[in-house]
Amino acid sequence: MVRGQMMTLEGIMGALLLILVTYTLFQSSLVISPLWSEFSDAQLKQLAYDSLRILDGNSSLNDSLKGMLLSLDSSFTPNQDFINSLEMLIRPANYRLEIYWVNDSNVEKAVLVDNRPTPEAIAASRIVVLKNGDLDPSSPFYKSGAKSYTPVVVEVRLIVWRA
Amino acid sequence: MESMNERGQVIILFALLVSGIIISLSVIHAQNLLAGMESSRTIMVFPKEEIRNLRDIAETEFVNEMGLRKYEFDEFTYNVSRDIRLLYAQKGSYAEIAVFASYPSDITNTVSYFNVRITYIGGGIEYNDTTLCRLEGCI
Repeated sequence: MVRGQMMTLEGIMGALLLILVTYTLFQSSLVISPLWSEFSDAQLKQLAYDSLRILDGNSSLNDSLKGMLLSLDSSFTPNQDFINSLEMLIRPANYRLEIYWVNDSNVEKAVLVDNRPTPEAIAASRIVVLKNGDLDPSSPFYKSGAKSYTPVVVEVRLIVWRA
Repeated sequence: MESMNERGQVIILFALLVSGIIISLSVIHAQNLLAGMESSRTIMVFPKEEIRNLRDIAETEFVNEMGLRKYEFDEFTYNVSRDIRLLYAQKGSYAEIAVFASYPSDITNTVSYFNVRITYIGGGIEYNDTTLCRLEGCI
């Protein structure tokens, strides 16, 4: 009689053991593993945001975001000082640089550095405010007839991926 | 012989009990690990850089334009806010820097301070923040 009860208890304990092991394995493998890609992307994303933040300095500097945007012409080729500073911050990762701005309620886009990103690429952006009065009439952002204090808001988007 | 068998069964039963306790603890540990991962992920996806960018615009660009006349300052801040809304809308999120400027000074016709309300909605996060700005800086 006692032996029978012992065996029943053993059976129940064995079943519980199997359920707990299965539950623990599923909890740890299925939920945690997909997050790892986000953690590795986060480092690259922070690098891109930090680079844009560092470059968003005084507009009189040729290699600042404002300095680069002010010197842009219709060819949309950024000056070499800016490219050198950006690459110093971003390399060895590869990058693509785009800008977006509003023109008469329409969002316009231009690609400044045209590299093709991989599917794992991440994007970081920074909004820069220029003034119409600081722009050259040949600038693609210049609004003829607008006042000198009229703002020109440009979003600089940096797409980065591991080379 | 029979009592020895029963003693063996009791030992096995206790071994199972102990292993049950260990497994329960490992489940609790896995849950804690998950909670930690989830909370760090929440911090990671929080759009802190976007909000910092909006604050920088209010604290530098808007403060630098406080020399403009009241209606010019209102026009400047309104246009910046409208363009930011449009630029964020094409990315599927919402951002706004609403400015409430003080009455203009009688002599210079400029604003002496202004309130900024920064709003960001995107990625399941809604953020609101209000700042008071003077020429000396923002608090």
